[in-house]
Amino acid sequence: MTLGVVTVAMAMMWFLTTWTLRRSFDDVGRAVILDDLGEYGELYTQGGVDAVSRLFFAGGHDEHNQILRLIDPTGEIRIDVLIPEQPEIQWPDLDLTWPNQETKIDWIRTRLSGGVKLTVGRRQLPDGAQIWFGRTNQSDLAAIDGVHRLILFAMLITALLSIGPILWFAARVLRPVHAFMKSAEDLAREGSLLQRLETSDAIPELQQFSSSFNASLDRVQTLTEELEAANDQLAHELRTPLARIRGNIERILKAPDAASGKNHAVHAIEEIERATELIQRILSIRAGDSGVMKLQRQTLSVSDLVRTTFELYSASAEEDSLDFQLHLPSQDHLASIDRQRLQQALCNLLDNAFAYTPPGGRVDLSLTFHQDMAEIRVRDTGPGLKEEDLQRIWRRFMRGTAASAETPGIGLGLSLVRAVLKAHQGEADARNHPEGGAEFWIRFPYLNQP
Amino acid sequence: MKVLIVEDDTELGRQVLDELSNAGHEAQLEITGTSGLEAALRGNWEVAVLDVTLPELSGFEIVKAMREEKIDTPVIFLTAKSDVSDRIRGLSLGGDDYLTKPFSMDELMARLLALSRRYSQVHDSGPALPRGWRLEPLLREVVIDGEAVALQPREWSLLRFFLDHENEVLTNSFLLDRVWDIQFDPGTNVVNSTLCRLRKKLDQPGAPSHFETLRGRGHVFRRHD
Repeated sequence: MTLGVVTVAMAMMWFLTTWTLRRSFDDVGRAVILDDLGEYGELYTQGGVDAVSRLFFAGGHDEHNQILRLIDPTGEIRIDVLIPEQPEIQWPDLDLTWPNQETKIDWIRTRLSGGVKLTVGRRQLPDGAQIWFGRTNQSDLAAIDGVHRLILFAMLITALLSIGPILWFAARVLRPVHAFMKSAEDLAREGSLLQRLETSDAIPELQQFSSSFNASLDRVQTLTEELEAANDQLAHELRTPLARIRGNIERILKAPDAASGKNHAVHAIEEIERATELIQRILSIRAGDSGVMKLQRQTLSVSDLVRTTFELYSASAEEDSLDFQLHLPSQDHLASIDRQRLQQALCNLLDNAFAYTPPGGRVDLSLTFHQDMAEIRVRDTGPGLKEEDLQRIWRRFMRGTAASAETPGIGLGLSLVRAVLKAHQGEADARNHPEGGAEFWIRFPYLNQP
Repeated sequence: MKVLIVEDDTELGRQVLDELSNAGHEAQLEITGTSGLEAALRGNWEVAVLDVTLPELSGFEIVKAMREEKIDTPVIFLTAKSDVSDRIRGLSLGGDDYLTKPFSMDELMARLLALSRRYSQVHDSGPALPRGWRLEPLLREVVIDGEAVALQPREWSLLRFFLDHENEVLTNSFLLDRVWDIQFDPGTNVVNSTLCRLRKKLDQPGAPSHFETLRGRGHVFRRHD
C-alpha cells in the first residue's frame, strides 16, 4: 500500500518535471531563434551576405545544433549552413518564395528520429531576402537527461533511506499488530484464556500494551478459575447443609415422639441459618469486590466501635477460657464508617482468633491511630499462619491449613473483611507475630481533626 | 391483629397465613401486586406484609400508592435479596420494617406485633411487670421485693425489650437487631450469655425462670403470674 503510494508520487514527480523542463527549454529555444533572426537580419541590412556569414562562422557553434540559410531577393540561396556531423538534419521541404505578404515570423517544426525536434523560424527582410534559422533541441534533451539522472539519484537515496524505517515498521509494528489481531481472534473463537500476546521485538508502546493486555488476561484467567472454584465450593457448601436439613427432616418424620422430633427440627433450622448466612456473605463479598458495596456511613467514635465489639465477645472468651484483653488509646477519634459492615469485619477477625486459640490462650484487641489511618489489631496465641497461607487466606473459600473440619467457618470471612475495608478505602492484612500466634489488622481512614 | 399479606409465592404466603390464623389473627393473602394494592386501599389493615418482587406491581409501588392515598398502615417488606438495598433500609427508617428470606415465623410475628403496637400506640402505661417488681430506669435497677438489682446497660436494654414483648418468641437475630443494633450473625452467642446473666440476677431460686429458651426458635419472657 505505502509502497504503491510512494511509487505513484515518484512517477508523477518524474513526468511533471520532464513536462515543465521541456516547455521551458522550448520557450528558451524560440527566444534564441527569435534573437538570432533579429541579429542576422540587422547585419544583412547593414553589411549584406558577407557580414552574416562572417558572424555565423565567428560564433563557432560548438553545440552543433544550429542551421542557417540566407536567400537573396531573387530567390537564390546565398548561405546554407547545415551541421556536418549530423547529415540527417535537413531543412524542411519548404517553398523558397515567401508564402505571405506579411512580415511576421513563420515557424516550422519537424520531428526527427530519437525524439529530437527541429524548430525553424524564417523571416523576410525589407529588401525581400529571407533568413532561415533552425535549432534542434538535442542539448535541451541532454540537460533534461541530466536532471533526470539527478532525480533518479535522489529517488534512489530516498528509497534507500526509507526502506530501513519501512522494514522496521513492518517488523516492529505491523507484524506485532497482526499477531495481536490473530491472538484476539483465537481468543474469541476458542475461548481459551491460555493464549498470550508474544511481542518481544515490538516497539516499547506495543510491548507495554501487550503486557497490560496479558496482565488483564492473567487476571481474567485467575478470576475465572476462582469463580469456577467458588462455584464448586458453593455447590458443595450448599449441598452439605441441604443434605443435613433433609436428614433432619426425615428423622422428624420417623421420630417416635414429639420431643425427639423437635430436636431434629432445631438442627434443621440451625443448618438453614448457616446456609442463609453463607449466601449473605457471598453477596456482600461480590458487592465489595466489584466496588458496588453501598455503605451506610455514619460519623462514629472508633473507640466505641472497638469497645462494643469487645463486649460482644467477652462472654464467649469466658466460656472458652481465653484471656481476652482490650487496648484503647487515650485519645479517641471519629470516623465516617458503616458501623454494621466494619463491626462485621472485626467480628470475623475475632471469630477466627477465638476459633484458632486453644483454651487458656490469649487474644488481644487493640486500637491505634496513625497519621491518617485508624488501625485495629487482633492478636492471638494460636498456631499462627503458614507462610503460604498469609496471602491465600484472603481469597474466597480459602481456609488456612490450621483449619480442621470442626473449625467453624467456610473460608469466606476474610475475603469479606477485605471487601468491607476496600469499600472504606482501607486495607486488611495479617502476619505471624514474632512472639508466636497470628496477628490480623484492619486500617481505615478516620477524621483527623484537632 | 388484621394483617394483609401480599406474596406471590403461594406456598410461603400460605405458611404466613396459617401462622397468623393459628395465632388468632385475621389475615388475608393476595398473590399479585394489583390485587394486593386493591386490598390495601379497601381494607382497614393494622399491618401489611409485602413481598418486594411481585408480578404487575412491586411492593415499593404498593406502598407508594398507599401513602399517596394517605393510608399509613405500617408495612413489613419481605425480600429475597440478602444484601438489602438502600431503598429498603430507607423505608425501614420511616417506621416500616423488612425481613430477608428465609426468615423465622417467630421473628415475623414479633416484628408484626411490634409494628402494629407502634401503630395503635397502646403503649403508654409502661410494660406489665411480674409481681413484686419495680423498675428504676435512671439507676438501671430492678427492685424485686424491695431488693435492688443493678443491671449493665445491655442487660437493661434486653430486659426492657423482653418486657415489651411479653409471651412473644424473640429470635436471636431480632434481639441482635433491636438490642445490639447488629444485622449480621456474629460468631459469638452474646444473646445467650447476656440472657444467662439476666437469669442469674433476676430469677428467684426455686421459681421458674422468666426467660425461657426454645431451642431452634428463640426466647420468651413470661411473668408467671
